[in-house]
Amino acid sequence: MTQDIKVKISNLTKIFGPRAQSVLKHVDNGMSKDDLLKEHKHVLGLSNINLDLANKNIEVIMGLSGSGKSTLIRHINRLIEPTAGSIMIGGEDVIQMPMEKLRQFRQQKTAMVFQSFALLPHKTVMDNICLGIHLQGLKGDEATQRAKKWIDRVGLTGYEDRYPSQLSGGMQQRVGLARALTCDTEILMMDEAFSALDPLIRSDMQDLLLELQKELHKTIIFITHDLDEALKIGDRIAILNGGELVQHGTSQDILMEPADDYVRDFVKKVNRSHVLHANSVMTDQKPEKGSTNIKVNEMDSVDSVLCEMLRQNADCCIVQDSNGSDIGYLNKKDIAEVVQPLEVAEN
Amino acid sequence: MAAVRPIPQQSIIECIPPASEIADLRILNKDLNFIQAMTKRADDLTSQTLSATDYSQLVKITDSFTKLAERAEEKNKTLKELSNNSNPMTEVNSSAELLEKVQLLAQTLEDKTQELSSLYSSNENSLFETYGNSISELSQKVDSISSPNDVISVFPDLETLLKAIDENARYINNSTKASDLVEKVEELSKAYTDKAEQYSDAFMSDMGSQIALLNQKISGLMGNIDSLTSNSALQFHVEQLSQIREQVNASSSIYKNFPGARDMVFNLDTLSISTHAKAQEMADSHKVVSDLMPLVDDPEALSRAVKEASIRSDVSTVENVLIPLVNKTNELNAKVIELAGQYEAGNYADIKVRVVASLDKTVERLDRQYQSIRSTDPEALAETIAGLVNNMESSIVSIRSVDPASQTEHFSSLSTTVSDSISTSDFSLFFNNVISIPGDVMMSSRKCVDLAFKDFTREFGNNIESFFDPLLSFLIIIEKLLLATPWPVFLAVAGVLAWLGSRKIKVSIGVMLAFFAIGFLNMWEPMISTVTMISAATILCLAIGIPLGVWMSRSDRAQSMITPILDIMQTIPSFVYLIPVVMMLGIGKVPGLIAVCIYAMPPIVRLTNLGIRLVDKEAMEAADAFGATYRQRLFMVQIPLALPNIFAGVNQTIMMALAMVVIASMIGVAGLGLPVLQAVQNQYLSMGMLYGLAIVALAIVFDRVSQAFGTRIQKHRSGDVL
Repeated sequence: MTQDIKVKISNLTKIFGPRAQSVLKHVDNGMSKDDLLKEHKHVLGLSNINLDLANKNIEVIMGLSGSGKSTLIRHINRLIEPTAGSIMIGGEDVIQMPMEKLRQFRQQKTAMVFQSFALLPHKTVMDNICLGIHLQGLKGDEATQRAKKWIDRVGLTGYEDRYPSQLSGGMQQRVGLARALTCDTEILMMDEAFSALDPLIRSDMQDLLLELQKELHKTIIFITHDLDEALKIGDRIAILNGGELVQHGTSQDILMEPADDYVRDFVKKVNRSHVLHANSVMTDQKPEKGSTNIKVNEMDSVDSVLCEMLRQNADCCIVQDSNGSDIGYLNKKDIAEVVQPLEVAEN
Repeated sequence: MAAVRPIPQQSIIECIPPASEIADLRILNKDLNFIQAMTKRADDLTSQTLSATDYSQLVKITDSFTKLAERAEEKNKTLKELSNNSNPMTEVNSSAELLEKVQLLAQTLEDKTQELSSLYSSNENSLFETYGNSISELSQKVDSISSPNDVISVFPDLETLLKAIDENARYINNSTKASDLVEKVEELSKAYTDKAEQYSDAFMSDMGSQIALLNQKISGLMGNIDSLTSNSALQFHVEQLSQIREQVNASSSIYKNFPGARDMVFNLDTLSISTHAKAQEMADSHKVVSDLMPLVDDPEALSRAVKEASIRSDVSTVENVLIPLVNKTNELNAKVIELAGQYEAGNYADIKVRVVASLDKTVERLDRQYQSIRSTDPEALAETIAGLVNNMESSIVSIRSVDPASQTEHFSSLSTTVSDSISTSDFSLFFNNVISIPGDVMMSSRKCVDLAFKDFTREFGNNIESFFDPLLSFLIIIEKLLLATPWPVFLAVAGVLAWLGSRKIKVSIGVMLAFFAIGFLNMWEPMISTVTMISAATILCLAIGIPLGVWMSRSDRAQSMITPILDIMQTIPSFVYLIPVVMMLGIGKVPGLIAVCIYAMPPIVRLTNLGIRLVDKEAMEAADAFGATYRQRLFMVQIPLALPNIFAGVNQTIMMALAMVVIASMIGVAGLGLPVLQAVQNQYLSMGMLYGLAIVALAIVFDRVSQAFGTRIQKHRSGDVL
């Protein structure tokens, strides 16, 4: 996993209200969101966010409604102006860019998929998909060819001349996704892109995204309020609460070591065994008894390991890394701990 | 998309104030005219007072002032109501001004009275002197009365004196002198009455003998009538009659009320009528006889003619004299010749006319005199004098004195009367009258604005007009082009345009039918004018309105500035902005176009703004996120997505432009509106209906085509699989 930083967000603060700059000092002095609203009638959107988003990763930003996740993503292409802070992308501060440069940046570097699709109702599927590349200046056959490729890729072949209102929600979001992908940008931002879809289609789309990412290796910034979704697709997950960054780490980190009660609440209801990798649960200690002839990969999920062990009636197994060398052991007791939902464990 | 219906057409009828308001206005104007007249009267009286040189003039002015105060008291309700109001339509502002003038008048009168007070006493003295002299003079005359006629001749002088004293009674302030005067007058009147009684009997007997004589003469003449056979005798008779009549006429006033006079006049009437009848008969006889004369030598013809004459006319001579002689040839001949000789000598018709004319006049005059003339017998005269003396005495006692002191008091009471009438101390008045700026301030500021604008139009009117010249020539060219187009071509083009707009053959055929019907009913040319005007106005409105709407949608400040202007444009009565437009540009197509645009533009501006503001925020964000420039976002996202609203605006603009056609025709815009206007003014029902329906037909054509077009370009909204 390459860990060079694509997007570096530093000290980002956003205050909504007419005198944002003048109340900024109160926030710097540590005034809480509630006090700010009560005393100054200003809403604290984001509070001093520091976040590094790794290149070619799927970075998920997660939080409940009002936690500031949509605000945060809109800062990355500066659809929203911050009150303070900087966002460095490729050595340049997006916040300081002049308008013309920003426009080029948006055209060339970022693409975005929206929760409610944001398609142009008066344009056909083809024209909608071509929106981004048209704005980049690409016209004519070349544009059509490129669009065709992505239409095919997202499974919309044959629908090129339809209008968005004639498509289902899932298909509309495929249009949105194709539009973003056609732009061929390094950064793909997805603002609750799948939240409006029903569970089966959402799952399809998630699979589609993961499949595409295997080929494309883009930096995908994915917003969601659904932890399952975040755990499924996110390489790393940033959790926001009330405009503050609570935790940033891999799914294993989040599940094994929730930073606070808020995160713990989140992960409580999640089936951890399905998400956790063997290496997150394994121990160095060789079990005293039982056969250890079962060998599992460190990236296998705990529930698949458990299945294997139950099938072979084993008490423990050996965890190997991708090179085949043993790196630890997994025993029933440890597995039981993670299979048991946190809620039950607490009681 | 919801069908957009035009806002109801504003008719000129609505713009005419309802009758009740006009009535109110008239009442108000009447009241104001009353105040205006009063104020002017007060002014006049003040200036008269200032120029007065005689005390009696002041007294006359005071009389007028009194009347004025009385009228103010009568109208006190009106005055109170208007005490704070000011009507910009008149020069008079309020009752308060009247009060001011009245107070000024009272003050002026008081000053002048002080100034002329010396004249008053001298006036009084001179009056006493004059009356004293007149009384002693008349006393001598009365003393010297020696016949009934003298009694009558003194009467007028005495009457004049008494009336004069009565009239000037209020100048008499000095009571001792006044009672002196009254005493003297009483003495005089008693002396006169004594004399009148003394000569009354003589007068009566004199009158009796005179009338008896006249009666005798009348009956003498009466007896003569039957024996009148010749012209000369008749003339003599008429002259005598005339003499009697003249005598009666001259003395008619003396004879009045005298017993027997009435009978005498009646007898005279009878005589006159009989004389008239006699003259008539003689004239008829003369005519008959002169007709018979040529037949004298033909006995048979003569006899026959006599019979015919007897049948035809009603002349006694023929009946009594000639008929018995029929068939007695010689005698008849001789008699006709004799009668001819008898009647030959005069023009009877002339005499008849003279008699009748004088007779009518006399009788008429006499009758009239009997009714109107005052009796002049001494007793009646004495009675009249006694009545006048009584009047005079009561005048001297009762009438308000006009000496300076009481005058001064009077003036202030008069001005109090007026001020009571106007008084605003009534508490309810405060609540019933809106506090307003003084009328004169209002007037002058309005005048100032009017003059400034007039100057402006005088200075720049031509420049402004020439600025709009291209527009005018554009309008004229379009209209000429459309008029020069043969009607089938026009219909075809309209049909094709409708088809292009709507892609519906039904709409296309409907449009052609509508235009054909308008042409068939002789409204082609006005229809073309209207179509030109509507098209030009719509193009102009869209060209200005859409960018304006876009600007409004972009900036909240622009929106907050433009919205009230649009409100004004839509709600201000069209006639109001017609005034400055007509002042600057005169009447004609261009001012009409401007007026139409002012009325029709707001919907397109509003709906463009609204449409753009309602565009889905995420769609805009998407455009931004993909790096669209403002212009790209506008044309790729905002306007296309706002099209339903913009099209509603276009539709509304067209409909409102059509609705203005009638009002625009008031400032000389030809077209379908002009005949409607004429029809309203002259109550031509059929004409109004016909042209009104033509406007409706045009409205439907424009509405259907523009709506169909609007729907068509938004086919993506339908959701159908295409």
